[in-house]
Amino acid sequence: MTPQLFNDIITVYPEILMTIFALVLIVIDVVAGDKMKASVGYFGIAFVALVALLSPAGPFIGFNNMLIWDNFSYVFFLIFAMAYTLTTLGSIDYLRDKNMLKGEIYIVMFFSLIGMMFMVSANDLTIFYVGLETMAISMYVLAGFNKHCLKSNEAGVKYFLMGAFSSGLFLYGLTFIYGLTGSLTYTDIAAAIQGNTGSLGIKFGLLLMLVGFAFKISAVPFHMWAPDVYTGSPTPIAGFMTVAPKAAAFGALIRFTWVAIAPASEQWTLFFTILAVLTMTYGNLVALAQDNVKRMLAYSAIAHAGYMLIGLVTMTPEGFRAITIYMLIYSFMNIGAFTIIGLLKNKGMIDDERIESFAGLSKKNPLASLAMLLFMFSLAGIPPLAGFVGKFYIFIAAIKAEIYWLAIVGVLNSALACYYYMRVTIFMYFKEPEYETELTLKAPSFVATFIAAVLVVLVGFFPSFFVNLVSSLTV
Amino acid sequence: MLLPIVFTIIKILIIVTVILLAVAYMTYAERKVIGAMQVRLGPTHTGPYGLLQPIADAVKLIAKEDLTPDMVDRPVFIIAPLLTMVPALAGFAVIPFADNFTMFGMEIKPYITDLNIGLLYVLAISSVGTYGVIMSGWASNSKYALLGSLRSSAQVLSYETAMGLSLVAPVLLAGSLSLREITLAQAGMWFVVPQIVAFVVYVIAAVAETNRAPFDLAEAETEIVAGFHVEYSSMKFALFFLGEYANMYLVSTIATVMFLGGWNGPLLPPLVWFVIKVLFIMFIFLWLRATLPRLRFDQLMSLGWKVLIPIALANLMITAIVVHIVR
Amino acid sequence: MMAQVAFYILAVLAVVSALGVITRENPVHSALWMLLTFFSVAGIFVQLGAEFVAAIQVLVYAGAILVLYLFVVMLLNPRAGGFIRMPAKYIIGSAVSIVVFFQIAITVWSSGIFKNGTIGPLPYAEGMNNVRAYGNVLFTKYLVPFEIASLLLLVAMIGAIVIARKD
Repeated sequence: MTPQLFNDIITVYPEILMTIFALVLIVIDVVAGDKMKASVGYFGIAFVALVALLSPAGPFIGFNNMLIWDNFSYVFFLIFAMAYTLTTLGSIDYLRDKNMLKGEIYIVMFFSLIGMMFMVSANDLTIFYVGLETMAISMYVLAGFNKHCLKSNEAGVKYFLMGAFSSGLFLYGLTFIYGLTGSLTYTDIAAAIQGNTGSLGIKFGLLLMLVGFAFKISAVPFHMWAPDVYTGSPTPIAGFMTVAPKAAAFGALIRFTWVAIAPASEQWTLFFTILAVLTMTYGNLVALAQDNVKRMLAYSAIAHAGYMLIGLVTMTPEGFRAITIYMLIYSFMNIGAFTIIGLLKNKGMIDDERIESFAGLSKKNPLASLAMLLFMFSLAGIPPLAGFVGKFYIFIAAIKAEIYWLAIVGVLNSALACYYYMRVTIFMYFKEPEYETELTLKAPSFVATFIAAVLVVLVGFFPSFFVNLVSSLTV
Repeated sequence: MLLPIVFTIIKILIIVTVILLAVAYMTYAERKVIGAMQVRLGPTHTGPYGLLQPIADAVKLIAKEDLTPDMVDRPVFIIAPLLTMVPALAGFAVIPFADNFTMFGMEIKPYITDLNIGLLYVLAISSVGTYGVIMSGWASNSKYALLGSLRSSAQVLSYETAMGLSLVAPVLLAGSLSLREITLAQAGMWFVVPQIVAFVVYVIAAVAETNRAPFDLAEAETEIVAGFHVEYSSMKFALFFLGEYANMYLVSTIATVMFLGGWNGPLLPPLVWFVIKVLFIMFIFLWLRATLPRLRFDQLMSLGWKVLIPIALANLMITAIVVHIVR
Repeated sequence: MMAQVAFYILAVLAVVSALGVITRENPVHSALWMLLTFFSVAGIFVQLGAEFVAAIQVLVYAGAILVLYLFVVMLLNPRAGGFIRMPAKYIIGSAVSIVVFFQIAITVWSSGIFKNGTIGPLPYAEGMNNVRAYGNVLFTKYLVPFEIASLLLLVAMIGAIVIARKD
């Protein structure tokens, strides 16, 4: 084996491992009996953990500079792995209850992970795009997984149409960049647009591509698909969808802005600033008006994308690291919250996810409501929980980059967001129940909630481990 | 400058004329062969041994009134037969009928053109033939026609995959997509020997592609009258008829070129070998029609997707591995 | 000269048939016009020396995807005029198209292709033709995206079965 080939293989080794495991999962699904479909999910968790342990330490660059495996890819893989683990554990009870526990859901999710890994590890637009589509198609399927539910169907179709549309925009921009630079590799693009940043064609192309990215991270004004999709999808899956694809899109976007359009990045701060301000403010304002907690969290997911965009506006390594920390923390707190919502059942006439269902939950299930309280406080960014750490680093990055006003807008928005997160806790602890509700934590969902809650507290009190994990990150 | 163009036009004219004649006499042969297999005589009255029967049929079809039903979608209704006929003829543009030879001191190339994507061209062009069937069924505004065309298009799409996959194996052996180069690669051994599996898959898929018995569900007379062309008459109907038979010839020539060594063969002149092989495949078509009963639709689909495609894929994989080791 | 004449014929056909696609009320007619668009674009690909892409364009888009599209249209059978006509959408659509047109025009103009350099295929290396060159690049430089595409198709297949299967 030549050193070149060895280097190439080790660059793509984690993804190869994941692919093999994904194929094994299909076989496991075939072998597993109808009662045993949860085992596919458990195996999936084991495989993801195994890949996390066996992944080489980078950085490796292979396949003619097209693919990179470095710490950045690894940390994002950890985010995906975390999202997969928590979602799988948290979804088993929900799916069994709705009579749609099938092995395929975990297989498709596993495949989406591979797509996301390629998105983040890509140093080439071809790889990025194919990875993106792998992820996106898995997501369409997951959104529409509850096929007897009209809302889920709607979510699947809507996600598909908007996803196809945004991919189209992205590809259209890509053709401009390819036509004008003659290359699809990030580093070559950077070299080609160096000193040519004023070119109108390149500006058009980048604008379209960034709009495509903005669709994927559901930034306002390209968010219109997000609330309906997140609301319509099966609840734990919605948790996964608010976290993992967004993380992948952010990871790829960071690499793209940091490597490919670095020479032109100055021109795009305004674009990202507008996006960030609009996204934060719109997401929070609309979330205020929601009575459906799931829909509220969907809008809050939009708002959180806005906070993360602040990190991108700074165009500094601190900003990118802050996004990574934020994404890592956001993954477990949001999936934890979605897990609890998924388990809540209302026997009355209203939807399970209505805020009234939460009334008096603290007396019925103190443990679950304590966890929900932690997640809500953390999402609101109240110290000393994990969410605060994430926000803290984002705003610090903004301040270091001397964009004070943006940091202030972010802080004001967090204050605004407190209202609707607090509302849930107030309903849980201070309201008398109007409807007969039920929430039982069975073993898998208990474990998921427990892990997420413990992480929320631990990271809040001892952030140093996580901060160290990302502090060495370079793109 | 002008001479090659004139030459090409002459070649096109010759090939089209020959194919149209061959199609006409194929109908005669079909009736005779199936008659013999069923211990009947077939046509005997028109001309000696009924040899003028195809001419009489053609005259009859042309002379009949050209009916266009009232509720049809006129432009599409008229285009549809052409879309069946033209792709079938256009496919012959890349078929090498014989090796290059010299006549009157000039090198004559017995093919219209030699594309380096020859096989892909044929597949692409013949896949367009589906439109004729779909459009005719839809434009006729008739239940039977629509059902027939839906059946047909589902069938053709399914079997196109198996057909394409079975054709890739000989391409791997020859290392080219140009039909001429593939033929030249078979000078030593016809690909039917190492690729017997692919050949069988191809022939089955080809029968299904051309909607012939036992896969003629699209025009099952007993169920849906005559399928997609039930509303057609006169010359338009004749075009469908011509298209179908020209398509049969096309798939037979492809089988000849890809598997049976094209013009290669001892003793006899290349062109004769070519014709013999094509006629042999055509005979198989007739034989199948006289022997096998029609399949049910679900049988047809499961045969295509669950039997032919896996076999073709496995064959392709083995071929690829062997070729990789041998080279 | 001949090549230019052929190009203009193909280009005009492509544009006219594309106009046909968006102006027909009957979706089946639109699909037929689209067939013509595919063919003319395939012809332009051939002129650019990309025979493989041309053949695949016809084989995949015209031969399979458009047929499936027609299938759906025919099964749903939206009658002519069944689509609600919305002038507002035409206006917005035209505005977007004009913007896109100028965008392309400016880009192409500013790239300087008209001033220096010709449009056409680059010469192939010795012993290469379009298909060989294509295969070479696909299995060396673009191996990873090619393999990811197979994953993409696999997951799409699983997804389609999951969504469509009766249970």
